[in-house]
Amino acid sequence: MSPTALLAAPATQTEKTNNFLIPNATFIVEVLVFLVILWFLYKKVLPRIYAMLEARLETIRLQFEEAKKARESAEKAQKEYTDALAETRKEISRLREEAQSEGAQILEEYRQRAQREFEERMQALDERLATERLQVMMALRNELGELAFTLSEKIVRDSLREDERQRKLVDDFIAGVGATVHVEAEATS
Amino acid sequence: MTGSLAGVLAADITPGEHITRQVFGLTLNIDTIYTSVLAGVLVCLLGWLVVRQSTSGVPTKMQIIFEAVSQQVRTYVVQAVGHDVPPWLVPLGFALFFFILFCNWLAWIPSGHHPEYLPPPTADTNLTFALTAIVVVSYVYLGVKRKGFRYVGDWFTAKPAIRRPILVLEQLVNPLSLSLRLFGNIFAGGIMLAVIALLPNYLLPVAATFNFVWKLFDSGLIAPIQAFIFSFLTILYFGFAVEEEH
Repeated sequence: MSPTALLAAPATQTEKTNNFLIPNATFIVEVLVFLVILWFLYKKVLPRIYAMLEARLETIRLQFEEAKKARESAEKAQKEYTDALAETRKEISRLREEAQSEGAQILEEYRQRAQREFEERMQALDERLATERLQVMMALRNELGELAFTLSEKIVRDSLREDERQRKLVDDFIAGVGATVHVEAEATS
Repeated sequence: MTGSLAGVLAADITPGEHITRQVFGLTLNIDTIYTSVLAGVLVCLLGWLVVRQSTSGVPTKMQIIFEAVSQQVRTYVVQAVGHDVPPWLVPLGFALFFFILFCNWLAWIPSGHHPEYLPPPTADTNLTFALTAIVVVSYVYLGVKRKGFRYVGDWFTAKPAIRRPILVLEQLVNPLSLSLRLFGNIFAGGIMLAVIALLPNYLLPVAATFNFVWKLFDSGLIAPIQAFIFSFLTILYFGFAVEEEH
């Protein structure tokens, strides 16, 4: 029977069942209809939906893993950078300390060398001064001898008459000059 | 007027009134059959379209709905029966939800005939009883498979003893309430439409508004809620069937 014929069915073909709670043969048809729908959704629709869900979850999982790897890589690079920075800072600090230490050492060496040179020069100067003083002393003594000789000659020539007194005068003079030279030599050394 | 309205209601709005045919001496509610087939075809067609356009990339809106419903059903099923889920149980909950939803939505299209040419088939107890029968047979099968004779034995050994008659009574009440709840709600929705249609002509604008608002409420709220309740209770009964007495 076609649907059109069914819809055009006369009112007399509608039926009021005695009790709507008691099912008729429609019940069996409805069971079959639903079983067909269930079969179709169970076999044809839901497996594909699940497959798509699984595939999407897998994609998300892979993306998540990639993101995790990228994050780990970035963290590793950051750690390496931080470590390298710390190492560099440590190296700089070490080099600075070394430089400071070397500088201090060099300074000390120069200071010692300068001190040594100063002392050596001072010693050389002292020695030269002593030599020069000795030479001056010698020259002075010779000159003094000549002077004394000249003086005594004058005195002898001039005052032979006061023989005794003149001799004493010359001796005192010579003694006086010797004492002065001795004091000067001690003061120089 | 009230009296005449009541008279019309009493005469025209009666449950169990269908377009029927006799086939080999058996009475068939033709309207229920072809509307349920129509709803079934729509569900399958929609499912087929969703599958055809489905992708593991960015899903379509319908695919999202199908995935969300199937995932939700799976969650309820796992909560009810544990992780050892029979492979047909989630499809059963899924199919019940969408099939009942589409059946209920047929109330949106009135033919204006009496009886209606496109009544929601869920307003016929034949369909609700049929769905309930499938559910009952399925959960009894699963209960017996899991617990053996204890499935029935537990009803009579439950403690405290007061629970025993309640458990036995539940075996009748649960299926009856499951099927009649759905039938009653959808049938009542039809009655509301009939009542609105019976409003006199001078109230036509009001009637048209009422009609629209009620259909919106019925299709937007009652239809999905009833579909959800039927599916959810089905899953719950599976949980009762396999739960162990402590």
